[in-house]
Amino acid sequence: MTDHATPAIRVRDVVKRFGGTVALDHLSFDAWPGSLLSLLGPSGCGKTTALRVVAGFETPDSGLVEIEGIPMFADGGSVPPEKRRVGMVFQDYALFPHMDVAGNVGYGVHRRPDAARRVAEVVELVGLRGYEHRFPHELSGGQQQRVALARALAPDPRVILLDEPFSNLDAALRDRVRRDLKEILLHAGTTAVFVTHDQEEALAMSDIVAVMQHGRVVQAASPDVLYQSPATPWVAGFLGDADFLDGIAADGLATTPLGRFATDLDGPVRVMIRPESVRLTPDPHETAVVTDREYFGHDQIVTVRISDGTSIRARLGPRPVIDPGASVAVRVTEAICYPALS
Amino acid sequence: MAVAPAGGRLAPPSGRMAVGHRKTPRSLAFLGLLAIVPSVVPIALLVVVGVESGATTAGIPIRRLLELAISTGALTLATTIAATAIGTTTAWLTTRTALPARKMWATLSTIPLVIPSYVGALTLLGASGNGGALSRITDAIGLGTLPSFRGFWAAWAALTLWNYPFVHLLVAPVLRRSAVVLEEAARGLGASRGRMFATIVLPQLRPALSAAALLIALYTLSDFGAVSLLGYETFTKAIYAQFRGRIDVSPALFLSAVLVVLALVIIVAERRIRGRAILHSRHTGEPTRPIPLSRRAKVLALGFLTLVTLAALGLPASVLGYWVWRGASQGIPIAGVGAETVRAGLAGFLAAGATIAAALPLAFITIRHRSRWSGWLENIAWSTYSLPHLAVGLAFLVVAIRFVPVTYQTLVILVAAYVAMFLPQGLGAAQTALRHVQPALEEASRGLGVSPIATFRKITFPLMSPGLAAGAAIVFLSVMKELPATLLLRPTGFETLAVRIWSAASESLYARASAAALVLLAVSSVPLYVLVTREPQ
Repeated sequence: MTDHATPAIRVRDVVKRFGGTVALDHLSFDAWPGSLLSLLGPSGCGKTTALRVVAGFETPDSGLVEIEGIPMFADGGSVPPEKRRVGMVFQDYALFPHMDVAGNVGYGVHRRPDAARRVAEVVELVGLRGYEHRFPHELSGGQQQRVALARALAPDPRVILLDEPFSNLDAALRDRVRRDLKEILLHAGTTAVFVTHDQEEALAMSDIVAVMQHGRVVQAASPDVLYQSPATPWVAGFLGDADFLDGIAADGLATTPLGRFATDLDGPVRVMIRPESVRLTPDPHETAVVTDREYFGHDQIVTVRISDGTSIRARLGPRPVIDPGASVAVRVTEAICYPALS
Repeated sequence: MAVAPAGGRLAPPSGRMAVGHRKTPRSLAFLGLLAIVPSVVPIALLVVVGVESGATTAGIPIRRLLELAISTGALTLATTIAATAIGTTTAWLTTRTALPARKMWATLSTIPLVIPSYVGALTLLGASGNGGALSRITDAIGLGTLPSFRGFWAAWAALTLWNYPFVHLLVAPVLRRSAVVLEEAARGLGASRGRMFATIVLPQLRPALSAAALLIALYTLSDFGAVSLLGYETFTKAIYAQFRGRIDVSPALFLSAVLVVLALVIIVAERRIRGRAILHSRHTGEPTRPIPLSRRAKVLALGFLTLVTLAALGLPASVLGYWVWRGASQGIPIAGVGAETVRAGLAGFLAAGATIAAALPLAFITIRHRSRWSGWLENIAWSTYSLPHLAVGLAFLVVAIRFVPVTYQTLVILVAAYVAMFLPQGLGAAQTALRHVQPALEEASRGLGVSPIATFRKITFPLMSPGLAAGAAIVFLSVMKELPATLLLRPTGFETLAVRIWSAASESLYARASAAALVLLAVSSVPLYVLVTREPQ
């Protein structure tokens, strides 16, 4: 059993260059046993490289990679991928096209005496009983993904890595597969790390989200903490809708055109406001004017130009319906201040 | 004009009638049948001979047949193994590893293709023995004269060194777009390098490897130039010896029939080995970082490639150069092969034109008017593809002597044989070219009131012409290098470059042979270079 003080994966100060470009720039993160960690970032931030470094398909230039406390990469020595006991689910699944489901799932356990039983077990776990002798091209996208997952789970890996697991599924299928996958992983009790560029996916799936930018983790936290207290304006903007106001902070308060907000900063600040923290009330005497409205049914996004010319957005319920051109009173319930230069 | 379609068959409603299932016009069908005539000759004749001779062996002792089968089989097996090993290694090194100057080595691994095996044989002969280019060097450093390179090992070396690029060309693209992610998946599941190779890489490579081995085996089986020059007895050499200076050609024909059967056996065996190709793999073309090589591996790899390149390119270049230089100093100028060059060019030109002309109606029938009988036409056109050229030449010779004596020893019968041998290449090119012309373009032209023939002239042909030109160039090159059929069928005195190289080399006139060989290589590599570097379609 794993000691709970030891992370299932520990990555420290990993640097990886490809030619002149730095893919990983002192990357560090931990994945705790039994948890689901996602590496979230825009394309080119190095998240897939990070996954491949953990799996052993890329050798870092420097740094440390440990799995269950055992060094996988340290001081230039590297454990080859086949010896790491890491299960990988590839972006396009990489199912062996010339082997059936049982052949694919059994590939990593062929030497075990109970191979057949183990294959049956994981095939059952992913809900594909009866499909053992189908070939990959005879399966739907969602089924292929389950085979890839079953294949990765079969050898009892120490951790499971998933590279953009949902990117090949159409939107209709994605929600269901996402829920199923989470349940299967929970059931298997395996630590899992997955890579995604989809914020909603990361927030909905993970225990911890590590946001990556330029080859390093800028913030790692639980989804709610991350959304409510983003470490930088960039993280705030990447994780959801965010508008920014300029302000001046002094004596614990930041002054902006929309009022004062508590802060422990001093001097020029940028104040981040999420649309759902903005309330609007129609008021012909106010200077803020509605410039645009996007009505989605369950909610609506109303854009308002305030006195200093900045636009901010408000997420309102289905009512009230305020038409563009109307004057409104703007109230902000929550905001976060960042130093103006960050 | 009849309203109901001929034959009483009901035409499908015109709206549902698919392009490609239109009824073939009579004139086109006639042209197609005419075009296929040369291709029917060799097979038909060999079948007739088989039936005529019944169970007899045309006076050839069984013991002799066995000897030939063993000597031919041994050479074929040894060459196939060696060429496949070398070609696969060069393909792997130049596509998958971090080898310095990969691109250059990849190019160098395909260039030996331009050297026909009989020129390779000439190189081996001109390098060794008394007065050989290499012998001069070994003599100078006190090792004495090299023995003349002849027999099994010489034939094996010639056929391996100058055919392995076919393997490289077939295997390299598969390796280049093979799914690296599958290899990673296997290793991530704990597979060792060995198991990964056996279970993932090899199954992907198998169709290409098997096709490459088939090609090498067929080339070796049907090679005449190299084995005859290097004095190694195989079926082809025996057929030529049987035929020469005799009036009764039936023993030679019988041996040819046996050779054709052997070729068919190899083809059938390959079909079974190849098995089901990996279909439905979506994993194609993700670019991959090459496998890093250790210092030791790098030295070994570079050493191997250098050795192969020196043997397959350096040796012919220097040996031929040496003999041409020696010949020039003895008053045998390289310009002395001008007439041979013109004749080879003429033969190539006529054959390329005739082959494309034959391929055009067949392409239209097989693509625009597909039916069961168009499938048969296509099969017949391809049937000569794997026949040894010596057997084809012999069949045409017999046909000329027995049925159309007027054509005996004329360019007509020679060009007909070329068409039979190289129609598959011309047809392939014409079909590809036609597939790139949308039927809608032709229909638009017809709809504007232009007749079918004028439509072909104004629309289809101009659009096809780049593809047809490429096909013609390939046929031209093949004809320039063709030896055995040319040797049998040429008009008296019609010495082409290939014939000159072979006859001069047989008489140990290496200076003359080398001059012709250098000209042949120069003339044939220019169009080849254009073809290879052309943008792929």
